Formats: sequence, C-alpha cells, structure tokens
Amino acid sequence: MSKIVITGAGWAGCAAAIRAVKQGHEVILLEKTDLLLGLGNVGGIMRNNGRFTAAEENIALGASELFEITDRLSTHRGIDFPGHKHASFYDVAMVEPEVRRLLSSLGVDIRLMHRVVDVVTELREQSRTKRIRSLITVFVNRDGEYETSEISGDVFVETTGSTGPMGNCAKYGNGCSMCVLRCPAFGPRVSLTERAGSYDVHGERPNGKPGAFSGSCKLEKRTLSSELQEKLEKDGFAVVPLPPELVHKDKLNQKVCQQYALDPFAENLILIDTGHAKLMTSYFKLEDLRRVEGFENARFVDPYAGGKGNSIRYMSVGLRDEYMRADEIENLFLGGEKSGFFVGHTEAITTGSLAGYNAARMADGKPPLELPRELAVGDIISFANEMLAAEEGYRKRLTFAGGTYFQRMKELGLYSTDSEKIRERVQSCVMENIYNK
Amino acid sequence: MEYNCVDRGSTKCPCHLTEAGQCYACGMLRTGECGCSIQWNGSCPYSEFTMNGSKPQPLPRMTPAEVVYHKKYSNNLTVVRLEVSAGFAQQCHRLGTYIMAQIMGYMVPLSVLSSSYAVEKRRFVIGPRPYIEVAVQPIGVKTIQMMNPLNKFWSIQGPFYGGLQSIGKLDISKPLLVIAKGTAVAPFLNIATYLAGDNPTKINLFVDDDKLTAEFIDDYIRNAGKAKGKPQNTATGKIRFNYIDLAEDMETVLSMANMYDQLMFLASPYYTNLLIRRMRENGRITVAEMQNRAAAAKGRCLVVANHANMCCGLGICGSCSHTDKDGRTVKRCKCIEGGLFQ
Repeated sequence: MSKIVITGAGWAGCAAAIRAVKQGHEVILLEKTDLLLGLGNVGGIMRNNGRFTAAEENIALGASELFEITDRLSTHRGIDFPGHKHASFYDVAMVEPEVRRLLSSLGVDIRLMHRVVDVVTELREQSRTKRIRSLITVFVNRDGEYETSEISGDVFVETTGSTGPMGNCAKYGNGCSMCVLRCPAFGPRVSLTERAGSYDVHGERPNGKPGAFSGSCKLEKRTLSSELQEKLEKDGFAVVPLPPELVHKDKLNQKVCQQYALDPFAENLILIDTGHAKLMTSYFKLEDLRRVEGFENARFVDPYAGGKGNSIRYMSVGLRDEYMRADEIENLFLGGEKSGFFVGHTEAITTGSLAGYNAARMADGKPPLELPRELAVGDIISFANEMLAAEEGYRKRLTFAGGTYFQRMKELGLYSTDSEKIRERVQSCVMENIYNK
Repeated sequence: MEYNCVDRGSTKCPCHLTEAGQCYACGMLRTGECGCSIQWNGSCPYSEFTMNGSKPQPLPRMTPAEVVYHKKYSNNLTVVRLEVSAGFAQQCHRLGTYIMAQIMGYMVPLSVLSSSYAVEKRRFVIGPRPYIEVAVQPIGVKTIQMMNPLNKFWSIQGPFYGGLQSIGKLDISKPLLVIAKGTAVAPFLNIATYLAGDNPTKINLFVDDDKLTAEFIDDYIRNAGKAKGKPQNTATGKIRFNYIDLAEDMETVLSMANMYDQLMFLASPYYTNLLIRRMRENGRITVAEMQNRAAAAKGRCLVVANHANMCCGLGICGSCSHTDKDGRTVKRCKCIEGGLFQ
C-alpha cells in the first residue's frame, strides 16, 4: 500500500481522495481551512446544460459518489433559468458534512487546518534546459502553532485551486472580500508546483489583466422580502429586473463564469435558492441593492464584503499533460482549477477524479489513464491544453455549462440529456466503471 | 515618507527584509507598531510572515534557459531570445519586469523586451514555444560575454517587477505619452499591447533612435501595441510613433510632458534626472511635495526607468540603497509608487 498525499480538499481534492482510497491506498487529505469543499461551500448549481452530460459520464465511469450526494441533497431539480436548462440546486449547508462522513467512512485521513507551505523535491533527470523532479515531502503548517511538520508520500495530488491569497485579491480585485476560503484566518494558499520549481500560469480578462472575479455572491435569504423568499422556495430561482441606472454590463467581462456572462445577468438580479439566496453577480454595492424592491434589508453572507468585491481566481494554474500529471514533476498530479481554466464543481470532480485515479495507478506501477475525446469529460481535459497554444486561450474559461466549451460540446455532438445514451457511449469506449477497476 | 513595496502580497512576500525588520510596507515588522490605519492596501506582511512560521520566502531560484537565437542589429544592440516555461514568460508580461542573468558568476539585470507564453501541449505536434527576449547593449565585460554566440544556455532568475518607478497610478484607458531613448524603450514594448488595449492611438510614442537601428524599429516599434494574432492595425489604429533627439529637444519633451496627465519617460539616469529636476523647478519643490501634488492631481502619473539602481533585485546587496531626508534608508529595487528618488 502506497501513501498518496492530496493537498486541498475542495471538490477536486475530495474526488481525488475517493478514487485513490478506493484503489486501496493510504490517503492523506490536507486542507488549510476547517471545512471540506472549499468554494463548493458557496456553489450549489449542478447538472445545468452540458454538466448533465458530464455528471452522467462521470457516473458511468465509476465516479458516482459525489454526484449521489449532490443529487440527494438537491432542493430543486430540473430548473430552467436564463441561459440554462435542467439545473439542480443543492443545499450548500448540508453537502459538506455529508461529504466528510463519506470520506471518513472510506478511510481517508482528513487533516483539517493543515496548510502545506513548502515541499522537498529530488532531482531525477537533468539536462541544460529541463529538470525532472520528484516530490518527496510536503511541509505542513498546523493552524496556530506556526511550526511546520513533514509529511512524506509516494505520489502527490495538488488541488489547491487558484484563488487568493489576499495579495492577489488586493492587486487584481477590490481587496480581500472575506470569502469562504478565509485566508486572513487560515493563511495564504501556497502553490506546490511553484514550490517545486515550476512557474504557474494565470488566466486573463479580455483586457489582459490577470485573474477574474468569482461570479456569484450569497444573500441571507431571510433578509429578502417574503414574496421573494416564497418564489425562491417554490421555483428555485427569481429574476428581478434592475432599473437602468443600476445595469453595469462591464462587470460581465470581469467574472469567471462565462456561462453566466450573459446580458440577462447584468440587466436583472438573478437569485438561485442554494440554502442562501445566490445572487448571480460578482458583487453588488449594498446601498444600490437595497434600492431594489424586495432587497430593502438585503445582507451578504458570502463573501462578507460582497457589496464591494469578490475573490480573484485563476491566479495559479499548473501546466500538466492529459493524464493530469504536472509538467516536470513526475509524481505530482493536478486537479480542479489548479489543472486548467475550469469553472465549476462538475469540472472539479471530473479533473480531480482522474488525478486521484492516475495517482493510484502510478503508486501501483501501472500506466496512467487518458480519458477518450469521445467523452465530454475527456475532451475538456485535452481541449484545455490545446487552448494554451494561443495567448487568447488564456482569456477563456472552460465549463460544460456554457461559453466556449458548451458550444463545442453541441457542435461535436457530445451534449446529451439521455442518461442511457451517455452510458452506452462510455461503454463503447470500454470505460464503464473504469475508476473502480 | 511612506514607501510601498513592489512585492507586497505576492508570492515573494514575506521577503528577507521582513526577517531583518526592514519591511517597507509593514510597520509591525519594522517597529512593532501596526501602521495600516493609514496605509492599508489589502494584504498584511505581518500576517504572511507569522503564517509562514516567522520565516521569509525562499530566494528566487536560478532557472536554465536555452538561447534560441541572437539577432545582432548593430555593434551596439543585440536581441537575445530565450526559451523559458510558459509560466515564466507570462509572469514576465507585466509593467517593469526584468530578469537577472548570471554571467561569469555575476548577476546582470535585463529588462524584458517581449514575451510570448503561447505553448503547444499536444503530443507529436510542433507548435509555439514560450520565450522571452532581452535587448543587450555591450558596455562592459558581462554584456560583451552575453553576446557570445557560443553561450547557448543562460542561467536566469526572476521575474522581478521593480524595473520602473512611478508616482501616481497608470490608467490604461487614458492618453499616455511615452518618451524613450535607445534600449530603455524595452519595458514599454513588453506590455505595449496591454497598454494600447482597444485604442492604440491614445499612446503617443517618441523614440530617440540612438543605438537603435531601422531594422529594430521595424521589428519592434512600428507595430508596437498590435494585438498578437489579430490583423494589422489600420493606419489610424496604431500607436502614434515619432522620432525625437533628447540631446537636442529636451525643451520639447518638457513642454509635451505638461500636455499629458500620464508620462512614461524611459531613458538614462542623465535624462531622467534632468526631467525630474526641471519638474521640481530646479529643486524648489521637494520630492515629498511633488508626490503630494501628484496625489492631489488625481489621474496624473509619471513613470521612469529604474535600471541604473538595479543590482541583486532582492533588496539585499545594498547597491540601490537610498537614504531620504528623514534618514531612512530603503532599497530602490523594492519600492514602487511613492518611491521616486531623484
């Protein structure tokens, strides 16, 4: 049994942990905060547009555990809202404890408030221009002690995301907005790839500025008018037109989520019921928001400074191959936002599952798996790498739910809402339940 | 006088100056008293330092880089293209970026002239490779050695971002006057596309072609600001480009500088000092007062080259030390806005 160390317990890290532990390895999951799921704690939207196809493909491949939880804890299913079809919304407060129970029951060694601050590498191969290294140990800073301890491993997975820390939110955003990652309390995100000697790339906005704002913020539902609360409970979403003076379409260019960078999202306040009232805009000045009928008492719960800004993302993306293996580091696999300009939980579970599975295969001395391009989950992983062949590609984000990639899914005939057909497609690639083999 | 640090809040923070109690940005680390009530700017070096186990971040590593080619424009100017990783190249695509190249055991600071971070990741497909370019002007033993065509591999360090000093904040949506002499134009060319945005004509570029050749101007300056991969800009959609002779026309420069809110002046320390002395009315206005005026005149910005002071780039070697009128010594390679030291 080998030891696999996963850094970052967002959706991607949890997915990687499940895959690796199910292959029979000892798995240590390190997380700097006191919650699993990272930004997934403020997400909540699943199965919209092409994400339905991707979720079903993952399930057919054998990575069904996390989708079972989000499906079971969805409070609304089959919702159509502007630009999106057949979405389901999970209750963000209930999913994290359920995922934690699942991982514990599988035997994953979850270590919360353990922040990786440095790594030790060993040089495996060196030419004058290239150095292949191998990770040996990570140094972990346990909260409050300001001391580091060492955790060694055989294979490593990095799913630290690309958001924050405060310096990036200050330089490229409107300052720390006190998002769920809580960098001031739990410490800054540290990039393992950079610590190991590589240089990360970052996403860009259309004007070339680094990073992008997270695309939504959350309001305390009970601060909304009773009419809005009722509509959210009943329909799952609400669309409230904005007066013309409060419409700012330029904000659409700043946000991560291309699937929500549509005019209706600037012309209206679009709310989604995820336990909180998820407001589909990066930030909104509270004083202006309270001028809108039904929002007179509105108050942000995530980020706390949602009236001013939001977290800045895509600041630290590692380059990797189709197996999710990091460039120039032979035993490090990447997943989630760390592995490309991916947006969303389904995308994180997709990349995290492959990273965790291939980490386990490497630990077993087996060749890594590449997902076929006949499947959307395989195509998006390869397409994300192809995009980097032009600098324009750094300005695009990939999600099954909209923008460039959903369009591509439709053009290639990858988009489907027929679960049986999707399963047959996975079978035809000889990939059914591959993650559990 | 308050100083800001170019690396505050970056992956280089906390640096070795924090450990020595010399962090410019953090009163807590320097004096034990938090000064952020007046200069909070979004990240806390003290917090980063304690969270990092009260240790500084490691010093930047040396990175190997293959010389793709030397292009010799004249005896005074050679452009060297170095293949680097996409992340390195992209991180070089910022205002004031320079790298350190190790030659004969010594470090040489070089402004990045251009960078490309497009990278082909597909197997068995030949596509773009990321690179950076630097312009080298042979002056001493190190720079002469750099142009040795047999020198196929460089060892580089960086990127660093203190290559320019500024007063005020550059607003890329507003008109910008750029005056540059010789290879000092490099920091502008590196990010000309970003500065030009959708409206290149807002930039008025005057170049003193001393030591530059017509071929270099054709290669790098005439089409500066043109977005890569997009069709050639129309005549009206280009950065406005003219020649100037600083030795003859310094008066013109000064009168033009008054016409623009934003000026980027990239030349040798001789001309930079001349400009700033004149702007300070031959010393009648103190630097502090000049900064106050700049702060009061919102939207005004002056950017000048900082290359004369560069040595280690880390605030350690001390060659860029500057002591202000209050007796406080700071390192110029680390200071940005509020750090104009003429």
